[in-house]
Amino acid sequence: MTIPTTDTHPVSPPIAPDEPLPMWRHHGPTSLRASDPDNPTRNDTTSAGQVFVVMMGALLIGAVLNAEAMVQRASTQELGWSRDLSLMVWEPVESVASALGLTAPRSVLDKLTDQANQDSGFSTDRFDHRANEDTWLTPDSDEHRDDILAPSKHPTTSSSLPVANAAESTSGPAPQTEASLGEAEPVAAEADPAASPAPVSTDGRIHPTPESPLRLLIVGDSTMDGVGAALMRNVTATGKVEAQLNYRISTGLSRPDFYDWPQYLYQTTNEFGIDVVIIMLGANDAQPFLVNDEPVGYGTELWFGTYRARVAELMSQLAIQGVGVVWVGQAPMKDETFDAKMVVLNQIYQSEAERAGASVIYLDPRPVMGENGSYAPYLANHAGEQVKVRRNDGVHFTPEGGDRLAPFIIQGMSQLVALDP
Amino acid sequence: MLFPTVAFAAFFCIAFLANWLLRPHHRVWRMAMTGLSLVFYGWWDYRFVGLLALTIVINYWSGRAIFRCSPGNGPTVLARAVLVAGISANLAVLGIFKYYGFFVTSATNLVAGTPLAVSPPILELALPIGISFYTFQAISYIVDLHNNSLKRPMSFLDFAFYLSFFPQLVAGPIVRATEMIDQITRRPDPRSIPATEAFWMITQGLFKKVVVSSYLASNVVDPVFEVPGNFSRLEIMAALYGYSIQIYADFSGYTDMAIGCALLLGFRFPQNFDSPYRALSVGGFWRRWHMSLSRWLRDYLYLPLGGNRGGRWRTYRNLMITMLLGGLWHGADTTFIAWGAVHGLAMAGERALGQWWKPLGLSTTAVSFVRWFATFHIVTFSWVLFRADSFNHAFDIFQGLFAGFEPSELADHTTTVAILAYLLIATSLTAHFVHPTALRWFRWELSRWNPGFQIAALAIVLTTADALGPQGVAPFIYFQF
Repeated sequence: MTIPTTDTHPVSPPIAPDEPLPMWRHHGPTSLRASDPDNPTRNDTTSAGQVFVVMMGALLIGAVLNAEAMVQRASTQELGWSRDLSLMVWEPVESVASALGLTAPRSVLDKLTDQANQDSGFSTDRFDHRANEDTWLTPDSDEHRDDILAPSKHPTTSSSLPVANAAESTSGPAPQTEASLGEAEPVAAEADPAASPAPVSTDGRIHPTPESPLRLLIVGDSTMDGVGAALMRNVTATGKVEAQLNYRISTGLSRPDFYDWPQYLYQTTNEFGIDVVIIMLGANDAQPFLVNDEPVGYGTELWFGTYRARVAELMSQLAIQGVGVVWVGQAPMKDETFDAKMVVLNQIYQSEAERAGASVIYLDPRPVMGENGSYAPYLANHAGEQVKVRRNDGVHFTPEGGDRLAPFIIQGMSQLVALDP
Repeated sequence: MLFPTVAFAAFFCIAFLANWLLRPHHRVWRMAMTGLSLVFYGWWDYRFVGLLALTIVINYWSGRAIFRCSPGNGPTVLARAVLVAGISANLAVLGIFKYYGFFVTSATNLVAGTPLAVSPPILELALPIGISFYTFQAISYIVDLHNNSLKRPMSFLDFAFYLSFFPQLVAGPIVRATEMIDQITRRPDPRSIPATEAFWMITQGLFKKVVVSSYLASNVVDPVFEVPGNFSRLEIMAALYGYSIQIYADFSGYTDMAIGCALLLGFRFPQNFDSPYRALSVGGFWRRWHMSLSRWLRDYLYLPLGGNRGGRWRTYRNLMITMLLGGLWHGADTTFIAWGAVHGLAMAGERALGQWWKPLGLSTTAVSFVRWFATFHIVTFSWVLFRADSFNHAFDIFQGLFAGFEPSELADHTTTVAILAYLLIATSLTAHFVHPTALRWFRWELSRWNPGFQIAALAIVLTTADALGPQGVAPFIYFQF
């Protein structure tokens, strides 16, 4: 038996514009034609050719108007043929557009939205709002902080601060880095009283109180999603911590051109008098980056040297600023090749944290987030139930995973801060 | 590939050209468009394409077998058996990829400590995007064939085109075979495309997603839901309203773009949202929210269970089952089931109360306002269960909202939420009440513009959306379902 399928019906000839389609008729006003019950004679339809012209025209003009943003977006892609291709397309568009002044409207819009974002003062500058009510962040103390931390106010323009660009020109830690590493410990130990609101006792730890709470900044990449929220809940429950969470997807230390964590951290810790930073970065870092405009692939000596220098620089600079650092390494990953890369990065974090002094702590999450040190998607929660701790991608944490990892991090932080009642 | 990306814009231009140039060659056109849809789907993960292909083949053969077993006088026992097997296969695919981990851990934890304690193997599978949507479409196809609402099975190419059609593939609307079959077979006139309507839908969706949803998420909703303890009652309330608007803007924004893209390709999808926050009852809300899912649940779950034909208690039971399973469809977690339960209870409650206002002789405006207010707040508060990671987390939110309220707090209006966020929430809610004729008039005016102006207007909208939106677009909320 042959089954009569829809194929057995010949294709209908094109439907005349005025003929309602039989199937659509009993479905109410769903003919392809835009229907206007008030005025059925209205015809607001267009031919496919004209639609294509309008579509292409709008996309092309949109591309020209957005050319700067497009180049910016293209250049921050992972190094490789896709990035090269995007840049090849967008860079000429951008140079023509900016020569004709066509990128100006977008720049104005960007300035306006930046302004609006700063005015909103909610998620990015939460401390700012609170700071107005605090007595310790007076203009005086701010000035004082500026004295000792002047370079970090303008890290991109200052030559005295050896940020990532300095490190990039060398294959190993820059001389300045070595020097600052040596300084790190004493400076951190003599935490400036004006810089830190929370009292430091004889055991060298910060002893925050509800009156002078610890200012904690939590940063990371997308792996901080889930963990960050759990950390925030845990620390704020003590009543002695003012915490701010800022995690950004696809970021790390490899591509400061995409997001410059060191600059953000130097500036934010300085501006808001942060006592301790919890950092969880690295999952996006096993990728090539540019050194002197030349791509350097992961795994090369130059790559490791440069990356190590960046980690060392960030740790020591924060230590100099009197900021305690809790560096959380990478948990076991499902993909074995990827996991092996993360193990290497963990070794870098650990050894650099040891060199950076007592104010920088490295925490290895592998024992707590794995089973015998290897990847485990399900682990027991505090009630002993098996819960899913990792997302299906084998990289990120679920909220339950965050609930498991957060207490471990807070316990590790107790080397710097006394949070127990 | 996400809709609001450069990659999709380029992909769509190619698809648009291919669609209209190949349309006169029926077979080639269907093959090309199905191929493009598979490319679109494989962009996320090429392995998913195999699963989609498998779903297409299974349901195509089930459909044929059901038709073969149903000679003239209605379906036979055999046809029914094939139908059950086909539905089971679809649910099995969904169960393995979406619910396996949830069911296994729930079962393991339930029997832990008892002599029955087991530890079954735990699979870890990536959730293929859109799986909940296309398996539901496939189920509707074989059920329709069995019930004879679809007179004959689709040809393989038609069916492959229908199930994989990229605008509706990953997040609906859930389009039925009966709605697509004639649109595939009959060629629309390439001289009359409702372009203004389509561009309107696309740009409206783009703004909802890239601007409204992203802004509310990062500035109000996410910080509060992450650590409710850090925020005041007023701020938590703002986050709750904010989430109501965010999830509406996010999901309806996606379907707006899907409907607009389909229109440009000569297909009209069913409407998926109709100002849902205007509803005067929870039942009414579901006739306006994700309408293609509500319709699916009604026709393939609620009515087969008996609908409201078995008396009062059976109706309540059927409502509860439908909404509980509807909740589970949204995600493999107990919070989603609880969310479904709240809606089921509310709808059963509405049925039990009936038209309570009639005997009171109140003014209709006042009654409508009370009903709207109650409905909007039931829906908004129940979203907490939807958004929260766990019951404890949802409890934290409600505790922050209600615990230890003092009347003196009413005088305290300090808030860290930006005025812009309040404005955005208020505007989005007010927009629900704008009469559709106003928009129709506006669209009509736009359609008469010179193409040059249309190009300029579209380009400006694209630039503005890109400037106002965040760098990179977050995935759509509904993609995880």
